[in-house]
Amino acid sequence: MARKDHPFYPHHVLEQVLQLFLLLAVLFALTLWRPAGLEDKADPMTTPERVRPEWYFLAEYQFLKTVPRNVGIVGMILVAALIVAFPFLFDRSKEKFRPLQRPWFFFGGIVFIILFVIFTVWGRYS
Amino acid sequence: MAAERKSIADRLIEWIAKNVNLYSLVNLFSAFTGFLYGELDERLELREAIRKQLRKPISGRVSHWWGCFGGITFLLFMIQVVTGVLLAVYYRPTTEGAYDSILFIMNEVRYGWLIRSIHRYAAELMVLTVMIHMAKVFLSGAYKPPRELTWVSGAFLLFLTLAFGFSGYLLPWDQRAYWATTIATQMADSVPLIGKYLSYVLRGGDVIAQRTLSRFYALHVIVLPWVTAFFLLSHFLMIRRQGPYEPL
Repeated sequence: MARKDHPFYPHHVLEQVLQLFLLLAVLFALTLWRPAGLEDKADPMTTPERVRPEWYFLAEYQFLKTVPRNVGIVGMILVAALIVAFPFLFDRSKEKFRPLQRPWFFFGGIVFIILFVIFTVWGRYS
Repeated sequence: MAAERKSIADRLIEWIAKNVNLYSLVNLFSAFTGFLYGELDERLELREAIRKQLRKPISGRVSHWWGCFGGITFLLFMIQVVTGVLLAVYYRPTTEGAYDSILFIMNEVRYGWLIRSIHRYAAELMVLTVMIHMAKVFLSGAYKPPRELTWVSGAFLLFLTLAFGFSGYLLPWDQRAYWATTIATQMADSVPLIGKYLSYVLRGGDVIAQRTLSRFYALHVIVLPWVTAFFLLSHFLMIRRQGPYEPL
């Protein structure tokens, strides 16, 4: 439910400050639970057995491993371009906001998110 | 409806709004810097401008918890700026010195381990919050006209965040960093037409070496922050000008 409008200060600023403290609490907790690690110094002569990218590149990495390399790269560039230009190309009606008024884009978005998660998990455990 | 239900957060905000007066803080600040501030205000009318900005109404929608991820991303970016500057004080971007300087930060510098860990986790969280923010904007159709350019700047901010992650990953110069970057730059080879050139420019040669580290460091601490600041500014100015979207 939409709430009423309120001024930037105090309400909005204070919400931000509140969020900042919560955020710092989360970051401190993560840090105390497991401080950032460091592996052995880089050695161009020894390839480690398994190289995995950070979690946010896992989906892209797995995608590139699954499809032919050239197709994958071109596909990823196209997806990036599509993301940038999306609001100029599709779904431009000013009236339709609700999910069921624009089912193609809503469920398309859901499918994209699910695929991203699947590829991430797949990349993690393959 | 009878009395509106209030959460603890709402009550806290109300209490602070009643008891902490930012306007008096502005006045206090201007009193301390009076000799300068008076001169400035006479010419620029700052006090009025600040007041106007502070009083600008914000849609209640932003306060909905789903709407907070954009703001949190910005907070994370600010945390990254602060911790990043602190790390840059001790970090040495050379193939001989990088790894040892990270060890020094983790073991010798007071709270160095804390600063580096926060920088690391905030980076990962930032990618996560950008993605959630983007998914939310997409699924609610908030990018529709006239807010297309806000979306475009946001998309670039996503790519910039990923570029931050990619360039920052190499800097510790450990095994993971070295080999992950090796594979990533090999993938750049496959980009049609410019692939070979692109990966060569990224690495500054055929293999990952000192030049790569210098490049990534310059990218990470100089280029990307300024480009990001520019996109953030345009993102915020457009949001401020157009107001948050209101679905029908």
